[in-house]
Amino acid sequence: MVKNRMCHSLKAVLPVALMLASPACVSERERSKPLPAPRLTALAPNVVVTGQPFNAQPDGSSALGILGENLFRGSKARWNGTPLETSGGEDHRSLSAIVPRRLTAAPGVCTITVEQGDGTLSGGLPLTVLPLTGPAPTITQLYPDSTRAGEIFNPQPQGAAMGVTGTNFRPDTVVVFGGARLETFFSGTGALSVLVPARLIGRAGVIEVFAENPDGKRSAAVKFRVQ
Amino acid sequence: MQAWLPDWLPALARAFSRETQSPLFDPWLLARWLAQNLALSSLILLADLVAGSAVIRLLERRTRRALPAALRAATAVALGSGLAGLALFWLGMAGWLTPRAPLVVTAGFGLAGAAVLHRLDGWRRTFAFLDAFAVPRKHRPAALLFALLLAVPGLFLLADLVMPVMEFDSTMYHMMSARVYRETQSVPYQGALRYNALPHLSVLLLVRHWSILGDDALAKLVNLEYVLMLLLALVYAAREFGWKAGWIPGVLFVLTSPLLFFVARFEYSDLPLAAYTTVAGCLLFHQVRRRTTVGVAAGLVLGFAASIKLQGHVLAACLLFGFAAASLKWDRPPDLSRNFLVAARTLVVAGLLAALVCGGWWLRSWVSTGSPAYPFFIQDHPDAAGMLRNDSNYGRGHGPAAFLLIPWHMIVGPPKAFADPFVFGPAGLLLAAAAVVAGVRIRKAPPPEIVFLVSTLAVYLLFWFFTSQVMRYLVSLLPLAGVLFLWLLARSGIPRRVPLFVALLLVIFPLVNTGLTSTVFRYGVLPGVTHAGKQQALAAAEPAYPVLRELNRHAGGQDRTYLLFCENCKYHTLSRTWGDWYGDRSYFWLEQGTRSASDVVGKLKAAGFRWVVVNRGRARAGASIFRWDFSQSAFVQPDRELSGARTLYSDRNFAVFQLW
Repeated sequence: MVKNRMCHSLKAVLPVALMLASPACVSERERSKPLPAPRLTALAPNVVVTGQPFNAQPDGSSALGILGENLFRGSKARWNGTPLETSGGEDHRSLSAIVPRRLTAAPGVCTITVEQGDGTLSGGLPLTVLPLTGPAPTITQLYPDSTRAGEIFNPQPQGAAMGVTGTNFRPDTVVVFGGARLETFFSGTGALSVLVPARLIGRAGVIEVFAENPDGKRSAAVKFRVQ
Repeated sequence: MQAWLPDWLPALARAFSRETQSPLFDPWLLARWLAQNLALSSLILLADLVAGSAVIRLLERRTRRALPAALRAATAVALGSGLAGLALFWLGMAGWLTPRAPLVVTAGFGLAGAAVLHRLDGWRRTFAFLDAFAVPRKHRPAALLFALLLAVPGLFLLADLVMPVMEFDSTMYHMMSARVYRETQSVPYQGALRYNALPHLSVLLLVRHWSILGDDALAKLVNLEYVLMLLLALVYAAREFGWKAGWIPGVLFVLTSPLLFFVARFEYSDLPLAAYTTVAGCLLFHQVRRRTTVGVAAGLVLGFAASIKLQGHVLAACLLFGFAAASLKWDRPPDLSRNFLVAARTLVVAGLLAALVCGGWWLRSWVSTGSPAYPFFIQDHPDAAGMLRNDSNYGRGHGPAAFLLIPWHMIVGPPKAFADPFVFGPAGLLLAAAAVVAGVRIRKAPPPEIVFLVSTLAVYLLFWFFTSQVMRYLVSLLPLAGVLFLWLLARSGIPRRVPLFVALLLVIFPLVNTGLTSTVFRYGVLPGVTHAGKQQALAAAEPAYPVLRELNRHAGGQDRTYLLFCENCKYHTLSRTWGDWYGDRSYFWLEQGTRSASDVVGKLKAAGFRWVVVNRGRARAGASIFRWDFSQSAFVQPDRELSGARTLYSDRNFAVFQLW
């Protein structure tokens, strides 16, 4: 009986010993595997203006959206190497970083990177801090640059969507369409998109379109034809 | 009642579910990792069981009757682990706490125990407790269902136990002490570590698991030994009352407490304290009930309980008081003087052995601080008063009405006290209800063993209430209250199937309590098996961790860093750290003689500090200890500069300043 019990305990120890010696055991090599590398695809916004908060927070700081892959909770965004307060990552595709006002106090181009929880860094994406004033904007092309009277192109709930390409656009640039200031979305220093209300293209004619930067500088007018 | 089904629970459930979809989660790797470390932990447990059983076998040669199997096994694990911890303490005192010492001690004790058992014919008794878990064929489906229901809390407990070190108290002193002991290969006194002068045997057992399993995140697996001790104690009680299945309502009674779940998954010392206290209590209970002599074993286990923290001293004293009170009930006239002598001898032997086990810790404290129980016995020491101001009355006063309402307050409304975030649960009400039912049914006076339990619980409850201890400290006696609960059920006269069926309805509590207290659930983070995954889990759950990584890149190992309102950052800071409400260089020390942020910088520079880390949220809340406008300084405001210091890191929640 006694030997029986002792055998039982040995039988209990043996599988444990075998398991610990088996390939099912997690090896140190397996434990040293790094996290999947983070990859940044876009910043929102990627152009900001000196001293002007974007996605403003109650304390005057700004919130920067970072999109990509393998962005996990606990990752830290860096602005030219300076770590930022970072949240998000629950969906593994987006982070949000708080940018203190002092970092956007001077114009320039900075690099945004993300540091993973284990310390690995992503590649960088540029973020442009524009000076308060700059050269006048120019418009090179409207998309589309004509339509038929009453016909809504690229229909949206609030009207028609029009693309504008050019240079020196700024985050608060406004497109003026036949004297009306349109709701304007900044896509970059070379591209804007605007919503044109249906009433502005209801009758045939030629409408002058220009862009106006927040410092008051305007582009030359280009023509939009309504046939 | 909000604490029982808080509105954050569904949101956490969604977050947790999302985390299981993460590319970082590899269930197969985690399962292998868990199985492998459970296997290693079970070997440590086996060594403790065998070593402890050998001690009991040696003691049994002098006594007439053997202990019941379950109590014997619980005592064996308690003795085995406690003696290993004691050996590590003395090795540490001698400076021999090398990385291999825990393995050598554990294996050495295990092999020596095996040799003794082999020689003294002790194997059969060592494993006899396994018979208690044999289920008759007709009850197997019910047993399987019960096991499946408890498997969910069990799996979550396992996952929580292998999470990286992030719990507040643990990062502040439990695991921080363990880190210092491993680094120095000794057990030096560190004035900057809270409670470091006090006994903390459980920390040495954390060191043991950490050293043998090779990872700090696995140290908490030692808690499984304590859980087993508690389970075996309840199995013993049920069998003692002639109710084999009685351990099921006993276990479920204990599992109604969220606080028990809380202490079982963190590195708190309260679970080992509860385990050793319960085993010592059951040994004394057995002596009172069966008139066997267990003074030596009880004394050793009481000593281990007292070696865990000062609260253990109080518990040991209460158990001995209860034993003395119960011995007065041994009033059979012919045996009166003999019984008195037996009781007195047990009290002396147990008390002396407990003091002997704890003596090393008292000596260490005395040599280092001038008091055997620092900060007590040092005139006008501010920390002594602070330790008795834990606000456990939760703003409800110390009057008779507040005392009588304790069971109700255990359930409703989470307490405001810091580090005590969970309510006790309905165990108090259940116990009171069972007492009422049994009181109605039982007409005659309670037997001595029940006098022992009731007087122990009562005197401890009074001490706890009138010295403002935290709710968590009541958990230590919860399993013994479970023994009382079982006795009340067993003696209530109600057919046993009824309480068993009603108790099975209590299964809901382990499920809810798991959701309320589980680390993986609460933080929405799964344990990291890889080194990178572990860091990722830390960074995701603990906002300070990425900030401290920033500090660690710049601060040297010998640099002095002051942690202002973030004393829990100690563990993950590689440089030498100070800063706490208690102890050396406390926040009160920092406040004395300073009238501005510049004064603070000057004072820290003069004391040799090079770095300051501040948790701005907590600094804002604790700003009132400074008599100047601390809340307007750079320590709190992110857009301010700290005069005389360079800002290494600053956001709305944390800042790191370089002083020179």
